[in-house]
Amino acid sequence: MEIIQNVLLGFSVALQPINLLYCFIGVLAGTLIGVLPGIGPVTGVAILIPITFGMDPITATIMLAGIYYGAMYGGSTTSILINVPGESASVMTAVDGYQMAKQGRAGAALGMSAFGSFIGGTVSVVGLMFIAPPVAKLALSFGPPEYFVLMLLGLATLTRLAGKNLFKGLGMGFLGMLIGTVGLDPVAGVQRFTFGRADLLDGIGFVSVAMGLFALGEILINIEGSPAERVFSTQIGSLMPTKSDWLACKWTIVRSTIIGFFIGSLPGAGATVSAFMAYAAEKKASKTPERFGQGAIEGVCAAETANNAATGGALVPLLTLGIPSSATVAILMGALMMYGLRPGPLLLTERPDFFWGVVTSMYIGNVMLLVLNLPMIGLWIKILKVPYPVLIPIILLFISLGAYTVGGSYVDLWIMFAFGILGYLMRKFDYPAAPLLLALVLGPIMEKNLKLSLKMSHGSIAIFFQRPITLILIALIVFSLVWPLLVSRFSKGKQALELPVVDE
Amino acid sequence: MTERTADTISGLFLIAVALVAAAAAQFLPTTIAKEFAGPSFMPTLVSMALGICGAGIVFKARSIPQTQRMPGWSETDRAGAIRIAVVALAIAAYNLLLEPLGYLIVTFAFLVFLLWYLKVSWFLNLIISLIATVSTYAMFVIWLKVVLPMGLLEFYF
Repeated sequence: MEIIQNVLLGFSVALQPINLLYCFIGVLAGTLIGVLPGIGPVTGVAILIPITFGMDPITATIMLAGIYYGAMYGGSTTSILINVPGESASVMTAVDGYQMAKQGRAGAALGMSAFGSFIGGTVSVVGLMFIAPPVAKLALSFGPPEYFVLMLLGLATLTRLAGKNLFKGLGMGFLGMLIGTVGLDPVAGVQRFTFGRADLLDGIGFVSVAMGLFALGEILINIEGSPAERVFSTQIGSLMPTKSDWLACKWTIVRSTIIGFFIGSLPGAGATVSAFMAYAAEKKASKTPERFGQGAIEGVCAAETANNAATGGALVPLLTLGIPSSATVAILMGALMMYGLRPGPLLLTERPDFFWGVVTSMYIGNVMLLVLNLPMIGLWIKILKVPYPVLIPIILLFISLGAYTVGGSYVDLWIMFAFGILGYLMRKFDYPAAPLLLALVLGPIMEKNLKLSLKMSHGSIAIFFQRPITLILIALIVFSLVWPLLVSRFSKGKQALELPVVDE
Repeated sequence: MTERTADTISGLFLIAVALVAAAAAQFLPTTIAKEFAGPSFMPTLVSMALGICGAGIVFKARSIPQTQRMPGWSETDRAGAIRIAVVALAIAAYNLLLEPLGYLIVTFAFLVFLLWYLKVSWFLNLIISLIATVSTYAMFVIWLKVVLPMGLLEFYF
């Protein structure tokens, strides 16, 4: 059994004391970031990248991954207790969670979120272990045309899912690709839009862009409004869900784990969309859908199970194809490339210790999170009471430091600043930020694969229509673009689902 | 601001960005060494697509009812706009002064100013500013060996 050998190899890496320590630091920092409104997982991972310089790439990635899935746990706490989602993937948790808190059942909601998260998170790691190797094997036969079409599919799903206005999502994707053309042309090596500046030759650093768009933009929005009083509505009560809670949620957990994992693994979807879909599916499956929104424990459980299950799913395309599925994963991918690793099908065969070490560390991290979250709930609430005016300057300092150290030049400080203003305006004018960042990361890789494909075919685009895998992928692109139109056509009169703004 | 106006303005803005980018792309070589899709190909294509999206947003905006207001916009809230301007200027000043004055001085001043502006008590303000400045210095410069500008204090380091 090859897989058992691999898992043992993974544990032998993940259980090294240094890796255990950084896994713990990662999930702890992740929970904290999830708890604090105003900084989401994108910012959290970006801020901590500089700290990983000089670390072993495995240790560093274990920590950064811990921040990613840790944030999904932490986000539920604030959603339930004060109706303020710590990050966008917890928006659906707040719907029923806060109602439960008002009815004095905050403890059960928190407990069920933690257990649901644990089960969803752990099962999705198993899924990742079984699905990644065959996908990577298949991907080994991919050439530039397959990669190009695959990335096109990623961008198509992303823009389709980000917000209600298709043109806004697409527009931000194209804007990101345009910004991605700054720097050296990936094939010919000609300078483009660099204004003769040497520090722009490598292009616009996406860590600075991410910090600006997501962190600074969010801070400016928060500063604009007058700080609202945060009121804790009730006593928390017992954290253990009752037997009837478990019975109600039994199938919810199974369904939400599956939905979360698969939606999470779609390029462009991510944890927020997963939580949303799982919630909608539960409401549909329920015999008493009218309870949803009034404090149904299945609602809390569905959203939290799915957003954690999505984290394992999201790593499938990253580790096997080198394609990030959400903005947070894009930052993670950037970090891997900084460590000199090439995320893609070869990663599994070239660095099995890396792949299996990181994957098995996620089991350990999930156990740590379960232990951390329930008994320490009091501490998280205390942290929530830190006034926002104290946090703002410190977060600002960290993002400036992060942009400067990762980019290594003053230009990055200004890029962060400019994208912060842009991020603020995008929120005000209701534009999604995730497509811009993802397209910025994918754009240059797409361009390179497009050019290589055209070189192979001597300039004919027929190459994209002559290969079986590209044909399947093109069919999927057409389907993903047309399907929502069909749905809205046939479900006239029914209320359309409206996604929250995705900020992961 | 109404939603219609907001979408029209932002759509026109995207069209303008697309036009500038498309024009700038024409100065790039179209092909190098008989390459298909040379350096100017992608910027031209993407800016055209961006322009079409901008036009789509403007066109779609016409069907939004005139009365629909943009959420989160309030004409009377001057104080919010001033807060944003002050924080943005503080960051710009930080970026400008970091090299000439050095990390320690500028960071401390930046934190003291913002905490004061956000009405944190002086005692807490000075303690937070001092601890944050010194601990980030220790972490980044001493532990992570990042080179940060020392500016005026260069002589002492």
